[in-house]
Amino acid sequence: MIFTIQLEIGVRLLNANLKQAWRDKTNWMTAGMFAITALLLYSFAFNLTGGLVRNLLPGVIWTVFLFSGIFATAQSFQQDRQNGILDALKISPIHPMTIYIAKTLANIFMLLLIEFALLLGATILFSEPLFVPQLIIIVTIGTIGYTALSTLLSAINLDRNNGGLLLPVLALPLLVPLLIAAVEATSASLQQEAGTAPWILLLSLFTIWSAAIATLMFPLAD
Amino acid sequence: MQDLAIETNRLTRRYNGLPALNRVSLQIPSGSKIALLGNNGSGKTTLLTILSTLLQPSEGSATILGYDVAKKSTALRNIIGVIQHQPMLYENFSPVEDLELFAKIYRVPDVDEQIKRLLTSVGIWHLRTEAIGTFSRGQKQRLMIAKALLHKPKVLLLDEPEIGLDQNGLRVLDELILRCEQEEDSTPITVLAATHREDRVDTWATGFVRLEHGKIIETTLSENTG
Repeated sequence: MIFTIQLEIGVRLLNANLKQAWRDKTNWMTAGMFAITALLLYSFAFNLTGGLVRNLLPGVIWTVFLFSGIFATAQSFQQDRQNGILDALKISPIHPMTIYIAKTLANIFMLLLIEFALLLGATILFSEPLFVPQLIIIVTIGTIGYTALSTLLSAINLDRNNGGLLLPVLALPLLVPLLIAAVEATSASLQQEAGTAPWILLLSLFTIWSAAIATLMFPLAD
Repeated sequence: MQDLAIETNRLTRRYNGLPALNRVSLQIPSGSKIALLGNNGSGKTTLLTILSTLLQPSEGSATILGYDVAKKSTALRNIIGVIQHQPMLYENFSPVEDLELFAKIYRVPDVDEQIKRLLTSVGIWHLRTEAIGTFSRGQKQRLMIAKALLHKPKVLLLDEPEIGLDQNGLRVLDELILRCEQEEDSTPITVLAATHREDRVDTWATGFVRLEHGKIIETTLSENTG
């Protein structure tokens, strides 16, 4: 019964978070513009073709995803704190984990939109089929993993008046294992090697670990 | 003995070792409307923030209608209504969107009817579809009054609710604080409101508590000095 109530409230809150993000586009526009610019720069700087592109693309893709993700999630709770919404939610009968999950899901949804658009763009720029099911699965799992952690860290970062600058410092060391697994899985997928499954499994394990730890830690974050 | 709505026992909150609230013991009977008076930094907001479950006390305890505020139970959160210094509103939502979301969170029945009634009584029904970010401070405060009353709380914790309100807004505030008792059929509503408008206290308050440097220095309530 309690779970059903929280689920229903969570869906409403997710909807509100998406509506809020859509109307106040600051974070997402910044992330999107960074991603487009970085991708264009890489494509002109490296002039990648053939086999070489498959060696470098995993690093290019995940560097762009990671930093655009940090741009987008660094201020996740900042606006809610400034508006007093975070306090309004905290004094309401909503569970803190529901607040966190709704915010993280909204972040994941918006980031995946940017990332899928980037994969399409990179397909054209690098003449490499990147919008394929296996790569979409890898990107989705990886995005869930790093967004879960960076959203938690943005909440921890709230009362430290540094405009989100501390987030990359906190997030990057924690994300290294997940990013290695994501890059390796992407690389294996692009090279069409048989050994993609272990890296996807490892990536999934890191993602589950990140999401579980972040969800449990959030009620203690403030 | 009259039922107690709010009870604090040697409630203390320290910031960097300095007490913002110093062993405050209070007993506020159910149905009272109490003005919390005192200069800036006297501990009014700290007391209200602890009672709102947003801040943990360093020492002591506090209960609202028997619920320990430190445990932050769902049952407690369903019976308190809060107005803080800052508006607690989605700036890019309309009043109806904001209230609808919180009505769902509090599982308020007859949402549309309730929202219309509240927005009409605070005098901003005509702004129901406008973005809250375009509102004046007074209009936001009126919306906050509506939001605090949305789930028919049993205890209202108000931190300077007069901020930004014009004469008409002050009248609305007085009416809603005074009238809320008549609208409830069972438990009378208890109000604890921090205010600097001592000239207006007589219009709505049944008693007062005056704080200075985190301690009670004057009150019309029973007080445990322990």
